[in-house]
Amino acid sequence: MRRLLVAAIAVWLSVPLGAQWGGTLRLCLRSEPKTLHPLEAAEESSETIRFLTSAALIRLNRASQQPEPDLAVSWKITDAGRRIRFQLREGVRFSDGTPFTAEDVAYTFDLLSAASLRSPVADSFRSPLGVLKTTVHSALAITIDFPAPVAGLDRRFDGLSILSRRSPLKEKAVLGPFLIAQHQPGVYFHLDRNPHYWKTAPAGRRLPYLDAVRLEIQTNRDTELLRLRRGEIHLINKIEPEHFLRLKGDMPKAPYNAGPSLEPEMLWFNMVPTAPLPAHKKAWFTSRPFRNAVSGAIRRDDLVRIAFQLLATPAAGPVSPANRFWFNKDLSPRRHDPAGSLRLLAKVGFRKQGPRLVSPSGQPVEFTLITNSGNKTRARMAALIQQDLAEIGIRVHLAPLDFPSLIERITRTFDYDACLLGQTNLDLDPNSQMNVWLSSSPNHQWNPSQPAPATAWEAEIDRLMRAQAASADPAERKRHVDRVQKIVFDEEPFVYLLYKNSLAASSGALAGVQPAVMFPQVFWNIDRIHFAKGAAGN
Amino acid sequence: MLLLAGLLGATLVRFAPGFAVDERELDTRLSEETLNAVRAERAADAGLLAFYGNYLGGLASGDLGFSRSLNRPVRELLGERLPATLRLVAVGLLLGWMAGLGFALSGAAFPGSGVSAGGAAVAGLILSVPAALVGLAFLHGGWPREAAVGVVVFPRIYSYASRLLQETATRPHVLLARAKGVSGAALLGRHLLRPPLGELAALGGVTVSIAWGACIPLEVLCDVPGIGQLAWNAALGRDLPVLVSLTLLTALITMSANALADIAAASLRRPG
Repeated sequence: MRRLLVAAIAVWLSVPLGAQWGGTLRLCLRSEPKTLHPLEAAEESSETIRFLTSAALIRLNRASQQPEPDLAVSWKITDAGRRIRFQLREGVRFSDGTPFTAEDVAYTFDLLSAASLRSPVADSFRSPLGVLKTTVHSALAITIDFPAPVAGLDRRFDGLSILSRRSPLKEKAVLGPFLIAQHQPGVYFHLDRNPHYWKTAPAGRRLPYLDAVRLEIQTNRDTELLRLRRGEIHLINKIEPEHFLRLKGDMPKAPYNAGPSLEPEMLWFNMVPTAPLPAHKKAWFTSRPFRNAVSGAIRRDDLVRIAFQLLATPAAGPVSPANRFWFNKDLSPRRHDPAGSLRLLAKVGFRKQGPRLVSPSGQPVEFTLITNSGNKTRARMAALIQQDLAEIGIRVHLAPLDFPSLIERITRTFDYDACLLGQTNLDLDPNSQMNVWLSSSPNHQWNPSQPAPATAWEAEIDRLMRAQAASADPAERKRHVDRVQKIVFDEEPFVYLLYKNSLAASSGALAGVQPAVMFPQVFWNIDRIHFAKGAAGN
Repeated sequence: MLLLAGLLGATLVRFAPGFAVDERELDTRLSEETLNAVRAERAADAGLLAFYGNYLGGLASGDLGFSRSLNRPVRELLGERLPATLRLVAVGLLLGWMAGLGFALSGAAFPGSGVSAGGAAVAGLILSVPAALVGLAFLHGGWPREAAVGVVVFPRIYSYASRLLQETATRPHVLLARAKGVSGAALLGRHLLRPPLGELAALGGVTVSIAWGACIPLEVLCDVPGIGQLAWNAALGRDLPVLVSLTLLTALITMSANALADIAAASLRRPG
């Protein structure tokens, strides 16, 4: 009841009086979506279409970072996180008029359980311990039982679109604010308002305010910026620092800076025992003092200032300060201390020989840093890191590679020394990063798919991550995750460098835009975005 | 020849670094089981013999395979994108030919007027600019993309046509016509343009290939959803079925254009 009241007040407060109805919002997709099936969506364009056209049982409010009722008016988690019971909203209809019931939720879970379905949302509800079970109690009540406790269970429903069991249109019948009206492959999607969308404005009129959303497929980011400046599009969900500053010069009200994003930039050393590297390099890379020394020699402030023009925040660990609940506030970014780095290296036998650093076995210390080509900001970061490490006598060779080649090296051949890359975090809950932290996972980048943890600290991370995933107590989970962050800070398997800021842009024509750090940053509240009084929206 | 060109293209892509990887492999939300399934899917494409067997088998029934990077049948992708590129090429060629031939004819019809020198200077300048840069200029200027193709083919047409027409202009029959007072359209059409028509038709075939090749950078930069953009994305995604099909299509178009040009040239050169 309290939750409902809070949600109602939040909704009331977020709706300006006298908002303008109608108009077509224009924005760009950066590629053709690979699928229009909401349960298969895995990349940004497909997820954008899914977000604009679907509704979920529970939605995460991107501003408060808290779950809110959507198709479910209430829910209760019991049995230590194994069971969730939903009370569904009454009178909701799909876009073709088919009534929404608990049968649709059960049907969606049936589809989700199909072994052939391989997608992030399907994987987030799967468990190696068995299959989930749905029990429909009535048209508006359903219980879902999981084979094992699921941490952060309610938040997982944010990305799950509910499909209709009975509609002849199948997944094309939607519950979200818009529906796909036209699509010209490679050119655009035209979404019309869903006439049956259940949310209403305070006066009782059905949302969304907008008549339509037009998504132009635009792969070139410079063109996207140009089109915003020309008034041909109204929003850009993510923009680069360089574009942000350019916009700030000539359209001061257009750019938004929502502060540190959830996406870190980091580098790591190859610690794969079978990697085709000389033994002395393997010894350096698996040495904690070596990694700490490299980390301490990097000027994070310069990376932020020069590579990101101050539109980033130095990083301390794997959880962004933007993630209010899970961030470990006891950690702060490693200080730039080249003298300290040299002392640390001297303790394990490295020594300076003229301008070069020499290893205990006499080799000059040098390595190649690979990164993906075509990313100007990352290229600048790599060049700055190269300069910083030269100060302590480490020679760094830079090797930008195209993405498939880079993936091949870090996942198959392991033929690399160190890699500079970013990480995409779409979820606030650390459970979504299980595949990074478990030593057995293929995404445990520095040494993937280990049959048994190679080090004691990796075994400890495995234990803590499994413990937090099995607990329904948020405080206990937080303790475990804080400890993981501390271990990662000390051991530095990933040398976290910075969190780039969440930057977006909107033309002055719009009102109600509330940029957030979670996807979709600027249109997460699309049903409440509208054109400002007097602005043309066609 | 066509098949050989396609198969060679496929072989080169197969051995490019990162051939059997998938960007989804870095998606931390996917489970180990899913990642293994994704890898198995990609590994299935790695065998060249199996690929060729399946591709050629499908080709016989009009099936061009499935694009894993775009998650669509290749035939659908080509069908959707071909019209945009054909339009770009057709309009671009028309503009390029009008400008190139127009300048060349003016230069030949009015020797010493400065048109030849001006045309040569412009053609030389454009010839030294890569198609991608032309595309960027058109993008930032907000000018029609078709005209960019025209700009790319213009110097080739102008240089060749200008040389041919200037040679023709010094032939005795043209000099005689001028001496008899023939000028304007009659001089251009009957005496200057008619003799080199066969050679110009042959140039037509070549310019189709040039315009088609220019579409890759132009479509990528100007965001035209055509064959060029598809080729670029397929190369980045190491998408073998798409690349083989595009190679075959390109070879088919080039050879058809040249064959048509040869036939036209032969019939135009025929006396009478």
